[in-house]
Amino acid sequence: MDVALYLIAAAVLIVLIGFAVKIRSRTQEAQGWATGGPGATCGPRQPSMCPLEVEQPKKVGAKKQKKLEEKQAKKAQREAEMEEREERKRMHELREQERQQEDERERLMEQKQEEEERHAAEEQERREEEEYLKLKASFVVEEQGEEEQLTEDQSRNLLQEFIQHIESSKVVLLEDLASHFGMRTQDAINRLQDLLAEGSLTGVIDDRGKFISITPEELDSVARFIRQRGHVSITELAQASNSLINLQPESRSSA
Amino acid sequence: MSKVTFKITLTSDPKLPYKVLSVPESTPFTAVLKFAAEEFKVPSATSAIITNAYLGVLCCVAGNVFLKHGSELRIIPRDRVGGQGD
Repeated sequence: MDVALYLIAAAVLIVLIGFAVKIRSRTQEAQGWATGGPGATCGPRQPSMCPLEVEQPKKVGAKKQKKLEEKQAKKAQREAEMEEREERKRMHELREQERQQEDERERLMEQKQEEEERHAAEEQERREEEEYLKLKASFVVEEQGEEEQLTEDQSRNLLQEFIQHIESSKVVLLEDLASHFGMRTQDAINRLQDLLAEGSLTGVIDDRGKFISITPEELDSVARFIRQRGHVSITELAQASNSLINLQPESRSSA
Repeated sequence: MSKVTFKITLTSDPKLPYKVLSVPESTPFTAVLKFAAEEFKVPSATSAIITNAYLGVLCCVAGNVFLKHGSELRIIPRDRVGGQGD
């Protein structure tokens, strides 16, 4: 009986050992595939070729596989980005270089243009100078001198003379007045109006370019006539004015 | 070739020196200005010629200036052009 029991136990043990060896060999195969790929030669028949990873946890699950793939993808993406960055940098440098060359070309062109313009201007100036020298030969200085300046007394008297001349002439053409005193006609008119405004002269400027000097006494006499008559027509006034106002120049009237 | 005469007075000088210039009527007036400035020893680039009525003479040839403005002209320093006066 005991012997039979021992024999049965031994058989069971042998079966168990064989089973364990089988499982172990399968595990080794799986490890070798995960680390070495198709070329992995690590297997139960060549245990000396197995890398150390074989000794790590046995299965490469789907999650880990996915993680590994993601890692690979990220690495590839990073490398592609770096490559692109390098390319962009190269292009930028190239463009920069071209721009600088272009700027240099433009600067040289501008310089050249300025130089040409300067030459042209100098040439023009030289030509004008030559023409001027040719014309100058025909210029003649006929006379030269200094203008007579009025003394202070002379300038003071000039105004009195102006007023005196108008009063004595009685009726004076504005143009004649201006030429008599070496003035422009408009200047003579302006002076006259100023003198009338300040009261140094009394009279009227008619629309035919004459000034009629009327004394204050003559103006009073005309005013008295109008007040006396009360109601007077223009015709009567004109007729009366001929006798009330003396239009003869002083030199003639005294003669 | 007919000539025109201008009496040009330097009004910036208290003595009022003048010169009577006779120039061909087709002379550009810029040449007349330059010549007058040289005669009065003032810089032509900073001088201008005006009439007795204080009008600037900008016209082209001497003949036209004589016709338009007459013969009495003045030469003044250019900074006085269009000024308010003293």
